[in-house]
Amino acid sequence: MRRNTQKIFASKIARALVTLVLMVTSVFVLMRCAGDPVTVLLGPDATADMRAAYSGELGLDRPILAQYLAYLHNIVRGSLGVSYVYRQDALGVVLSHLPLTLILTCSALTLAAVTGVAGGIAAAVFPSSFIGRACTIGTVVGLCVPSFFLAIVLMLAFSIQLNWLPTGGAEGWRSLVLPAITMAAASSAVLARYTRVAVREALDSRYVLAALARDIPFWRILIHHVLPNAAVPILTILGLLIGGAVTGSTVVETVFSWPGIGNLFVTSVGNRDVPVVQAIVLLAGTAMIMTNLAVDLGYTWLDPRSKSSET
Amino acid sequence: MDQTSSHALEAPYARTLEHGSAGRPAIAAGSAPILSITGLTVVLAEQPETRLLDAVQFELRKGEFFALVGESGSGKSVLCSAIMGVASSELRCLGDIHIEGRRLSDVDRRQRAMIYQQPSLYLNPVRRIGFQLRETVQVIDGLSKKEASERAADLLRDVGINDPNETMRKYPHEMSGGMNQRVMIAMALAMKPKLLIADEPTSALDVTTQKQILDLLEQLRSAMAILFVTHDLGIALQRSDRIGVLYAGQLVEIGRADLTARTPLHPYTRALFSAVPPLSGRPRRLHSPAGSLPEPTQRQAGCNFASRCSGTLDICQHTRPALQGIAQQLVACHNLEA
Repeated sequence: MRRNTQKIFASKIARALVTLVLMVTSVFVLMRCAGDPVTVLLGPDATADMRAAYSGELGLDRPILAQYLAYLHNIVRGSLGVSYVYRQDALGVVLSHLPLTLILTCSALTLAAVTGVAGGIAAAVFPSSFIGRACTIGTVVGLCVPSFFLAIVLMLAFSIQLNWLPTGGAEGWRSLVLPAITMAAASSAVLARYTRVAVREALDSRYVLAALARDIPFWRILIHHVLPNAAVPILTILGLLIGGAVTGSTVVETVFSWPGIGNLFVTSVGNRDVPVVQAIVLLAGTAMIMTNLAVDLGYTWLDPRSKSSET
Repeated sequence: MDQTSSHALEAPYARTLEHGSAGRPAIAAGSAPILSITGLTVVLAEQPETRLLDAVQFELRKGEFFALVGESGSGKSVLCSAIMGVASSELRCLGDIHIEGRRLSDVDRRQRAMIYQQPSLYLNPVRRIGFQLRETVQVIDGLSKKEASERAADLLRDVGINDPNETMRKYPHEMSGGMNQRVMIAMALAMKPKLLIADEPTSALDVTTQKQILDLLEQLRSAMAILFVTHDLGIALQRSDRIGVLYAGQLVEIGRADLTARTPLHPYTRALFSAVPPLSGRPRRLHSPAGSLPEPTQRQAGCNFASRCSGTLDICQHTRPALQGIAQQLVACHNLEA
């Protein structure tokens, strides 16, 4: 059993590494497809001499395979080029924006996880009660309202009308409240919907029927039998939300001028700051792959059946 | 008619009858019945005219092993869930179910336990056996965790599991169907039930395991009444004291197992027993009645079996027969009343 688990873990980690290499490669290919970097950098008016000089400096005159290997070599060394705008190491620029994004996404995800899972459970357990209906309606609204619209509505209400919270910036916890709520709304709705379905399915199962027939109290069944079974699909959704959170904050960060990675991403695209954009894409991709790996490993812990059958 | 009843006596039943009733624990005859069902009618809540069970009536005494036979759709499972008090909210139960003389709604749920056809579906896949059994013991007996573990291990030994501590560390998917069924029985025993409902508990098991589980139930029966639902007439005959035949939601015949097998009275029971292939002798064409079980929505006012019966009278078309005592059996058939 133990050995089997180790084998499954090893194969999942190996698979994640392969995905990582594929992701890095496709970023390279896409960057080359996006147009000649020399034209992008120097503009269309550059002379042939300037272009040739620049190509040589960037190594663009070398064969494509050599370029690719050099690119991989740089990534392994942690060097993703120098930002054209900041004149610093691109990865350093991105990482300096990371803490603020992490603060925002972590608070938003915590909020989403708590409200989404709780709402989903309530909607599944009391489908026809006021709470259940409120949760169902809430999830529909949360899913349908785009975050930029919700952001503006919240800003109008709480910043402009009530003047309780700032409209933007990153000064203290008060400026965190509105962006976190905005970001959490859609995630919470998605989680609530999946939680409701998963809990409902577990509640309708025969082992719950049998447990009820054994006179085990309903709340005990909910906590010890239903939720452990519903946890697998909930974890999947949570993993996707966490994985997407690094770049998922782009819209919210822009609307609330929150100086995190999402904001940097939008500015850098506007500035054609290729190394920074590339660093963000690689970082976001890595985050997605890593959370997926964590979710995969989590399955084996949550569902003992996945240990005995390699899937 | 005579020919069909003589078929019923063919092997293997003829042999099992000899030792059949011998050595069985005495059924507590004088005491109040453990289970008593009177006029149990189950209808769809939306369409009260659609009857899934129609005026079902029987009693079970302590130590009794009652086999309920009938084909798919005859209402066996509905009857089980009605007795367990877990019938779907789409159904409405009319009539009375009493356990030891008290109405079902006043009776502690722990008085009755149930085991099922596919035990692995009724065990939580992501919790260990030990957790599920210990939880049951803790809830029922209010024991501490440590005491509950010991009691759980004892229960597993009682159902013939020799390495209870090993078993308790396993998940249901790591065990065979027979082992899971033993665990289900152990959980049922944890409740110290007066009535054990066994809904085809051996149908999904191989023959050897089937025998072990049946032997286990045989050991347990002295302390309780067992309602054993089955498709398998052989098991019904070998193991049970009495057989009840359910057809289209109605009990059409109840009687001692040996008598019912030797002289089935109701035409449906006769058809059932003549549809069992013989184990010895020259193979013959199995008899089966024409037509099929009427759907609950298409049941007429008369006898449910009338459309498939060879001996119908005029009265069969418009009046449903009630259970009558004929010889030592109870039969619902107009043709036998005369």
